[in-house]
Amino acid sequence: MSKYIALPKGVSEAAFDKAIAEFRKILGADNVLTTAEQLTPYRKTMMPVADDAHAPAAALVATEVEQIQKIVAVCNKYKVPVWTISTGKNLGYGSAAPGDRGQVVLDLKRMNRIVEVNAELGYALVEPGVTYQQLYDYIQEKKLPLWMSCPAPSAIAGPLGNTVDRGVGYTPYGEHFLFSCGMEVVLATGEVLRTGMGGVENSNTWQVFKWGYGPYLDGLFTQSNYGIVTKLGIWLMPAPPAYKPFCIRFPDDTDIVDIVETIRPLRISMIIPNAIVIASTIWEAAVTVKRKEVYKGSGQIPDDIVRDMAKKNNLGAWNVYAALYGSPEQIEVNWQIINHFFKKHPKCRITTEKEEAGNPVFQYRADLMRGKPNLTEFGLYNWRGGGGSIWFSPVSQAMGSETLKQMEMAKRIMARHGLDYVGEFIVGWRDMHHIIDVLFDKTKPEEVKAAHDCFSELLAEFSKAGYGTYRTNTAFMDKVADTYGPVQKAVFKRLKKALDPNGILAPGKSGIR
Amino acid sequence: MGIKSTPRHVAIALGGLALAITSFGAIADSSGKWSSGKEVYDKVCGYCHEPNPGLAPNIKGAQPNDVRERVRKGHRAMPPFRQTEIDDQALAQLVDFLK
Repeated sequence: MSKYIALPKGVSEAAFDKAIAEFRKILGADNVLTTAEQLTPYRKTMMPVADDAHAPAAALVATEVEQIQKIVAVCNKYKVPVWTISTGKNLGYGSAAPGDRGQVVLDLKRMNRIVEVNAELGYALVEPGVTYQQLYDYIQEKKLPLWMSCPAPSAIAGPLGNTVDRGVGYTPYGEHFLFSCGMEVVLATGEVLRTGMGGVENSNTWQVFKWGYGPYLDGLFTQSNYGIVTKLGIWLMPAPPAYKPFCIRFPDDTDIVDIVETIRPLRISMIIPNAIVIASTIWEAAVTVKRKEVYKGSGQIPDDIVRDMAKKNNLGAWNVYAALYGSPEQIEVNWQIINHFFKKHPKCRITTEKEEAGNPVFQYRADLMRGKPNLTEFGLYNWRGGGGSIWFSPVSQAMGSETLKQMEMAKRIMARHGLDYVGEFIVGWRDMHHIIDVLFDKTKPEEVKAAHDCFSELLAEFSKAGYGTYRTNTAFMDKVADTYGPVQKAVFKRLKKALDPNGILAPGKSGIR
Repeated sequence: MGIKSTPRHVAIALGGLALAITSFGAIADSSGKWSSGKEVYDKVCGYCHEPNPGLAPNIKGAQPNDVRERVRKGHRAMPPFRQTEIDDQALAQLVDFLK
């Protein structure tokens, strides 16, 4: 019987013993975790698979770049695969667990320095363990006139991990990778790469000019396993003199067509500058309502129950959240334009902070659109209970007919598995991230199976219809990679071979091995 | 659409904004360490366990062993928290705060 709860694939226990001994020399014994008790928090996932399938062999706690350089040398020597996490709170996408059983987790949560915040130029340089809460608190304490952009589970997640997984937020800087600038990366060779202007000695433009000279490399280190990102520059927006969050509610599922057709020109022309959210009824209701309070039957919750719940809770079938930023005069001008276009749809209700006072859902949305962290969206997990969740995230054109088609497809497929459609669209300029939370009770084997089968079918059917998935959980990375075609996969593999010939860095991330 | 043009007021507002921005600058000195159990509660637990929004049960007065176990192992939708996030000292301070 092994003394480890899992071993890396193809690595003997004797070889792993030697690797562990070397890790302890680099990090100190307290920072090399191998016991079942120490590794418990690295095993729990929300995915519809057994947590054992993602059990780590060990976890390494590093705080310095030099330690990481030494760690990759040991990994190369013993062919030990290492799965890097930053804050480890990519819930619904894999949490802190490695992609494959037996990989070693490299935990960078304690590498949590905010290296620099430049208020004049509006940027921050952060390490992997910095949380959005930490950065927000820093900005508040120093009274800096800056706003950050954060995702919904922001208090415990962090900007580096979210950005390199190409996550999104809700401010005008909501497309996070677009608003990042400059990375420091430890390569599998142990070399430390500073991208873009960071390569120039004594440069002070690393965080202000993205492109550098020659091929742009930063994208190679997002959703990939070509290096370990140890610093990231992110741009912060100037705190505007005035801010006006608002909500527009529409009563019917099919209204998504009118919503998108009305919003797209406003978004592309940046009359509405932020990453708008169009949330479905259950996404909204879950903050205050549990499924069992409104429906005790089997199968997908019926439409009439959802409509009744929306009516009783003053919700729409679709609930659009957006905001205006700038001087009061700018906001007034844009507010009138928005009202002009939406008043063509008499069914919709437009509300602001005044009408929504005391509504916790509006409040958390308003906070997110100004980059104030919270966790209120975790109310989603109370809808069904039982701690099961995986995000299915296809991309749609910002066209009304496309969003309706995707919504109806998803709802139909989920109904076949007895699961509820809980979705929202996050509006880019020309695209929409269609985010569907496949919620299930992980304590019930039949629901685990239903969720797994449902996700597989969603992926297959959406891919067949030409819809790609922008991000996925660790249990489905290989399958999603296959949907992008053999040439992309082969190029990714060639890059992997060139940058990490022993395949020690996060094998399997985004289907790259 | 009845749009009013007020360029003078806009210019004044932007002028004020620029002045405010150029008067600040910082090299960060954030350690990321918890200063107290209350801070852990306010910045992590409270987001779900406070009555507003009330996503999870009130844990003020919860049994210390239950708190320790739930923090490290998680429970249903609650994620576990690793030593690297809430170390043993901060967890002890949190338990004290919740008593």
